[in-house]
Amino acid sequence: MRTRVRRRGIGIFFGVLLMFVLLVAFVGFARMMFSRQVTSSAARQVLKRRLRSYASSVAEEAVHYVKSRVNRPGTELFGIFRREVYAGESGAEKLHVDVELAGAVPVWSDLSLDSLEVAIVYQRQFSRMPYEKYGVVEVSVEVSKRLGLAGSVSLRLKVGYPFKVVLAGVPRPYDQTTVFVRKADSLVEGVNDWLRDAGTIFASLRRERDEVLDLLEGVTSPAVDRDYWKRTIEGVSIPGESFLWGRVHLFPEPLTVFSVEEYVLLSWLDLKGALHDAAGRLEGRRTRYEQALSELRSSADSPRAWGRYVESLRSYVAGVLDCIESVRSFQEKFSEYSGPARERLESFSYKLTLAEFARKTTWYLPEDALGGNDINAVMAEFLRRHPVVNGVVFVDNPTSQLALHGERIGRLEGKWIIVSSGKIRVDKLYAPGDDSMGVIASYGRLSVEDSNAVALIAMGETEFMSGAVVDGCVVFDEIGSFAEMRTESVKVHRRRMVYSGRTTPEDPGGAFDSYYYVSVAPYESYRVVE
Amino acid sequence: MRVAFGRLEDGERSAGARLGVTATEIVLCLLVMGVVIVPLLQMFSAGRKSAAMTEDRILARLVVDSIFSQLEACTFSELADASPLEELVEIPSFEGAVMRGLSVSLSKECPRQGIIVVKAVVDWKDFSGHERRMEEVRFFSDEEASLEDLYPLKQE
Repeated sequence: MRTRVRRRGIGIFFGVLLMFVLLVAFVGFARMMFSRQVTSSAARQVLKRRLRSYASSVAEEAVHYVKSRVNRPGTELFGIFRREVYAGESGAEKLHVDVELAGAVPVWSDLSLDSLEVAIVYQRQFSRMPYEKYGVVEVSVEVSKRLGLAGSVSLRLKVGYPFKVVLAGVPRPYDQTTVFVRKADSLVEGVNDWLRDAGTIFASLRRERDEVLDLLEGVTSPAVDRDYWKRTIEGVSIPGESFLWGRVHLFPEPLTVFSVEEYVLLSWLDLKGALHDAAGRLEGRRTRYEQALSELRSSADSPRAWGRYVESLRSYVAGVLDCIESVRSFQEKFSEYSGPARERLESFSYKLTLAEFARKTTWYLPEDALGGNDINAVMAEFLRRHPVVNGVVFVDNPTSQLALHGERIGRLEGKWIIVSSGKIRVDKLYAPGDDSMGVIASYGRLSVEDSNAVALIAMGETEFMSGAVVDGCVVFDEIGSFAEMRTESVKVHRRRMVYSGRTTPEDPGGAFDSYYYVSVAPYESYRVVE
Repeated sequence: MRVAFGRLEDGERSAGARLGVTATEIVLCLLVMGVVIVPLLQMFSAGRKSAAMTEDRILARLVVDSIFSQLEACTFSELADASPLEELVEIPSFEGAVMRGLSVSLSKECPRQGIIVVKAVVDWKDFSGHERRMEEVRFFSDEEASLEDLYPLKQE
């Protein structure tokens, strides 16, 4: 039989100790679990950062692939970015991009690239032209790392880069001209009145000649050979209306003129000046004619009076014809657009506005970029950093003059349009060779010296130094004063390379797509990590 | 054994009887302590070690992130021109946190024109004196690659 032993002693403390140990064990276990959770969470965060670094690097390589090919003829991307996009179209395009480097980095050998998608997510026209547009290229990367048998950590990165596609040249259709004057009414101001006067002068001369012939019939002096003078006077050709309007025509209003000749002397545009000179010479002839006519009426018996009359009549008629030839020469050298044709041309004139160039800007250079107000210092720094300039360089210089001296800054390689909101001076400025082209668009005062191989878009006042040569084309908004512009002996050569082709919805292949310049922004417009 | 811890036949009390526990209870107690405490102590030790290592890894990661975020603020040409790369960055010091033997080295290579691969290596010693290393790589591409390209104009 088992004897029940009454317990005595300190054994109870073992029980208490055990309970304490169990409590500590529980707390410790909880702490351990928490610590493990924190460790796991931290490890996941570290892993996420690794994944982000990997995904960012893949995106960098992918966007560099795009950037380095968009302006390289012969690549698939070159063609895709130059496809025309019309209103209402999204312009979304998938791009094929190869990424090789990021996957070969040993540090990332435990990570996997699950997917890489590069696409133009949308494109829009700047204004109304399907070839000048802006949009966003998006690189979407998904990377992951497997954790054990079932778990994995993945990360999706989306990065968007804005881009622009612009015509890096003279806007169409102005690129087809040698000289273009958008508002040409001031060039022909008063010319129509003069032409009508010329018709009146001829009519008056014919009427007066008839009177003189009547007067000749009444001459009795044997000193005057009536038959001779009759034949002589009738032999003087005084043009009629049909002759006049066969040679010239009245200028329509409003008027745009342009030339597509191989070269144009800007002085040819100064019709009013030429007409003024001819009319000045004509004034003397008219005075001599009127004096001779008056003398003839008062002394018809004098053979000398008849001789003076015939001579002054011939001279006067020739003078009027000289004036008409001035107008005819202008009308032969320049094409005139008015009415619906001009309205159609005017529908493109927004391309010449400062706001339109501002939209298409690739580079923006404010004159206070370096802290001062010296735009030339800003431009020098810009050219130092960018020996090759492509795209639209918008120079905001309201107070300082931008001086582009070719001998100082050298040949500006690339396809560029330098837009100046203020004063600009160009001198021996060259865009070299057949693979570069430069355009100066001026909205302040433009001064041109010496020979320049650039196209000029002169939307403000313009001043040419004597003998200046422009190898390209010149587009004027308006010509105010030829005296101030000093166009004597200024020559504009048409540069064939200025023409960039033409495009229509039916025939988009007519455009030279190497004239389109694609600039992908050096910054991201958005970055999303999921 | 039954008598070993109880009242002996001769009336003497055994040691166990004097403590007031039975042999079974003592065995069980030792068993529990052995099963629970020993692994728990080991886990404590491992937990401390793990926490220290985690903290070191987080700090190393922060160093790497700080370096790359500083490099991201640089232009591609600055990265290309910098020699050594360390002149572009400031190695962060974390107040109150100590990483033993921390050293950072940066290297770059240009596997393709327009791309620079920067490798950051962070070395340190853990609490037990073992050398630890974290390596990270980041690609930097020429942000103005599309703005520099020159292609010939052709009258097709």
